Amino acid sequence: MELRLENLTKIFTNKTGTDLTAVDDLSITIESGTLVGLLGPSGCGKSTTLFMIAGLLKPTRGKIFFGEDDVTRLAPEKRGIGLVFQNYALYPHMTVYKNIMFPLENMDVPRDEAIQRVKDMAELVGIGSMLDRKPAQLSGGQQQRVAIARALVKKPRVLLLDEPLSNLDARLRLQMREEIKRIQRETGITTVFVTHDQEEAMSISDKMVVLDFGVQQQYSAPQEMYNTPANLFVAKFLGNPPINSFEAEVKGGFLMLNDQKFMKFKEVKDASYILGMRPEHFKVSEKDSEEKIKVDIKDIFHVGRDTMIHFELNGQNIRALVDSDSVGDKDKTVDLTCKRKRVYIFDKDTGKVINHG
Amino acid sequence: MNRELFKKSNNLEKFTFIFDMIAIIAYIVLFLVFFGMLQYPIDPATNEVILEELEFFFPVYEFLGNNITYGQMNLIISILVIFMVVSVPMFVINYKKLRTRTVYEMDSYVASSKFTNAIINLLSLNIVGFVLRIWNMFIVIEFVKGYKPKDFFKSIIPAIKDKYKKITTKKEKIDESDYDDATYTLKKNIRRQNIAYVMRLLLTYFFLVFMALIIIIPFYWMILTSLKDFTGAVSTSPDFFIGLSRMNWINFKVVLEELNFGLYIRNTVTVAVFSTIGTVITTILSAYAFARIEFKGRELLFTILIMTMMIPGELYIITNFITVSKNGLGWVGTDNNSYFLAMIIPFVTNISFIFFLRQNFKQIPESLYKAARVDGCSDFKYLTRVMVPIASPTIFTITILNVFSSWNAYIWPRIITGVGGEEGKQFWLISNALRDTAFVQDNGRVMYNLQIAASTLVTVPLLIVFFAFRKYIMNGIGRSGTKG
Repeated sequence: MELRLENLTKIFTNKTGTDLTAVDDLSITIESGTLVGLLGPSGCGKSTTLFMIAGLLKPTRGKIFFGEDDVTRLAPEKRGIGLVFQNYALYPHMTVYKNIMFPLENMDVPRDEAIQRVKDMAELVGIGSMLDRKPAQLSGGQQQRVAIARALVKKPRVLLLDEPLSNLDARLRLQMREEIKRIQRETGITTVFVTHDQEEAMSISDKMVVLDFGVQQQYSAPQEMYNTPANLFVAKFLGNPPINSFEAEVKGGFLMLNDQKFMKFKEVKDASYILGMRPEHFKVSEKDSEEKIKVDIKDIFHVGRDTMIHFELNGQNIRALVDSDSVGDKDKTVDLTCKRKRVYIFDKDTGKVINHG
Repeated sequence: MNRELFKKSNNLEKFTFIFDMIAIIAYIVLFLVFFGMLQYPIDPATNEVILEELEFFFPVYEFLGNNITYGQMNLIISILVIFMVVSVPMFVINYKKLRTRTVYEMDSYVASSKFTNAIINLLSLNIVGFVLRIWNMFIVIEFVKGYKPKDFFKSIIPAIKDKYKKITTKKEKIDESDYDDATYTLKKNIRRQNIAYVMRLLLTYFFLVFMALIIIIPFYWMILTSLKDFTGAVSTSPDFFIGLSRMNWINFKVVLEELNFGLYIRNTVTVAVFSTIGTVITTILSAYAFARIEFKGRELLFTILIMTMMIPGELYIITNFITVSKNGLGWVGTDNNSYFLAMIIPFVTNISFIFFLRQNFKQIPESLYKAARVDGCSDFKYLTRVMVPIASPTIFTITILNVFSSWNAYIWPRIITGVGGEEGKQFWLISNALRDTAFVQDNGRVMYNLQIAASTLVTVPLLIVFFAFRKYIMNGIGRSGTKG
C-alpha cells in the first residue's frame, strides 16, 4: 500500500489566538512495503504527522492518500491502520489475549477466525505462551510485542509506530529494533516509525524523513542522508559525535583554514560559508599530499580503536577521530586531511548545501 | 517441597468448604424456622400485641413432637446465632486465604490454624468439617515437617521434654563478673533496650485495647439491652451479662412484625437500591463527559456544578419540596401520591461523586482512548469496556457510600412521608421509624428494650457492610474528603 501525503499542514490555535504551525506543507510518498522513519528533535511535528495519518487529528490543509483512496476525511477505524503508542496503551484490566482480540470484536470477524488470528499473531511476535497474563505481569519488551500484535491483528494497510522503543532499556531497545524490522519484513506492511533517536532511525528504516519545525528537511535513505546532507540542520542532527561546523572563507577558489590553503573548489564563489566536517572523516595525511592542514593538538583521548584529537580551526574547537596508530601521545602538531566529497559547504543564510562536485 | 501435597491440601480445603456452606445454610434455615415459631401475646379484640404482657408470656412450643419451653427456645436461637456469627466470617477468611496462599507460605502456623478451625467446626456441630480439617492438618504437617501422622504423635512427647529442658537450663544464673567492661556495658544496654521495647509494646496495646473497648462497649450494650426483657432493660442495677436462655429474641420479632420494621426496612432497601442505581448511572455518564468529551463550556459547566457543593444540602429542601409537591410534579400532597418517586428522584445524582469519579477517569491515559478509537471502538463502548472496569474500585466505593447515605437519610424522607399522615406512615424509612414509632405500652411506659432492638436491626446491616468493604469505604472517604 503506497502512502502519499500531499501538502499536509496542521496549525494549532491556542486560547490566546496565536497560531502554531506544527506541520508545514509536508509532501511525501512512501512506497509500498517500506519502513520509513520520521526523525526530528522533540516538538518538530513528527507525532502530529503520525496522528494525522492515523486520523486522530484533522489536517488543516492537505490530503492523505492510501494507494488511490483519499482518506483525509475518513474516521480512524475505517482507514485500516494499526497504531502502536509510546506507552503501549494496553488495556490494563484485560489479559493479553483479550487485548489482542479487542480490535477484532469491533470488526465482525467470525469467532473461530478471530481466535486463530489472535493466536497466529501472538506466535509471530513471540508471546504465544503468555496469552492469559495481564499487561502488568509482562516486561516492557513483552508489552511492546503485545501492542504490536494488537496493531497488526486487524491486518491493517499501514502500521504506525509512535516512539515505540523509548520506554525500553538500552539492550532491549537493540533487540526490539531488530524484532520490529523482522516483523515488518515478514508481513510486508507499509510502516511509519516516529523517533527522536537518529541511531535507531538509521538502523531500522529503509528511508528517513527529517523534520524541523514541521518542515521537511530531507527524505532519502539513511546512509545517503548521512553522506550527503541537504542542509546544515540535517548534517548537525545526524551523527555521533556531532559534526564540526564553523565559519570558513573561500579565497581565490581555495578554502582557507587557519589561514592556510586547504583545498581548491573551482565551482564555489569567493565568500564566507559554514563548513561542516564529520570527526570520523578526518585522516592523518600522507606526507606528499597537497590537500592537508597543519593543526596544533590541544588534547588527545584514546577511545580504543580510534583516537580523538581536539584542536582549533578558525577559532572553533574541533574534534577529529583518527586511527590510533597514526598519532603519538607526544605529538604537538599533526597534518590532517579529508576526502573532498566529505567536506560540506553550507550557505551562510539558508543553510543549504552547496554542491561542489 | 512436595507440590502434590500442597495441591492435595488445597483440594481438600475446597471440599471442606462445601460442608461449611451446608452448615451455614442449615444454621440460617433452622434460625428462620425457630424464629418463625416464636409467639407473642395478642389481644383477641384488636388483634394487636399486648406490650405489657410481653415479659410475662411464656408459651410452650412444639417441634417435631417435642415440647420446648420458652427458655430452651431462646437458648436454641442464641446458639444458632452464635454459630452463624462464628462460621460465616471463618468461611470468608478461609476462602480468601485459599485463593491467595502460595506454596511458600505453608508453615506450621497453617497447620495450627487448621486445627483451630477444626475445633470450631466441632463446637458448631459441623462434624464432617471437623474430620476433614483434622485430616488436612496432618497433610500440612507432612508437607511442612515431613512427619506421617504416626510419627507426629510420637514426636510430641520428645518435643515437650526438649522444651522443658530448655526452660530449666535457662534459669541458671550466669556469673557476670567474667565479662570485661565493654561486654558488660553492651549487655546492660541490650537489656535496657529490651525492657524499653517491652514497655512500649505493653503501653501501645493497653492503649489500643482501651480505645477498642470505648468503641465496642456501646455496641455490646446495645445488643445486650435489645435482648433483655422490659424489667431488665429499665433496671437501676443492670446486668452486664445475661444467660443464653434469658435472651428475649421475641423482641426482634415484635419489632419486625408488630411495629412494622419489616416494612420500613423494605422501604429503605427499595429507596437505597433505586437511588444508588440512578446515582451510579448519572455519575458514570457525567464524569465521562466532563473527563473525556470535548464540548463548548465544559469547564464553565463543571465549575458551576462544583460551586453547588458549597451550598448546604438543607437549603435545597424547600425548593425540592416545592418541585415534588402539589404545585409542582404532584408526587406528594395530592390524591395520587407516589412517595417512592419523591424520595428517590432528588437523590439520583451527586456532585461530589461526579467530581471524585471524574478525577479518577482523568488519570486513565489519553492514549488508551486513542487506541480504542483506532480499534473502531465507539465512545459508549469505550466507557463500558475500558473506563468502567479500570475505575471499578472507585465505582464500588461510590455505591457503598451512596447506600450508606440513603440508609441514614432522615430529613427529606421525614418531610415527604409527613405530608401523607397515616398513609405516609406506610412509606416511612427506618430512620423516621426509629424516631417516630411509639414504643409505648398502654400505660404510657416506653419499651426501651424494643426501641434498642429496632436500633440494632438498623445498625447491624451497616456494620456488616462496613466490615466487609472497609477498604473501599476508607478509600472513598480518604480521597473525596469528608462529606456531610
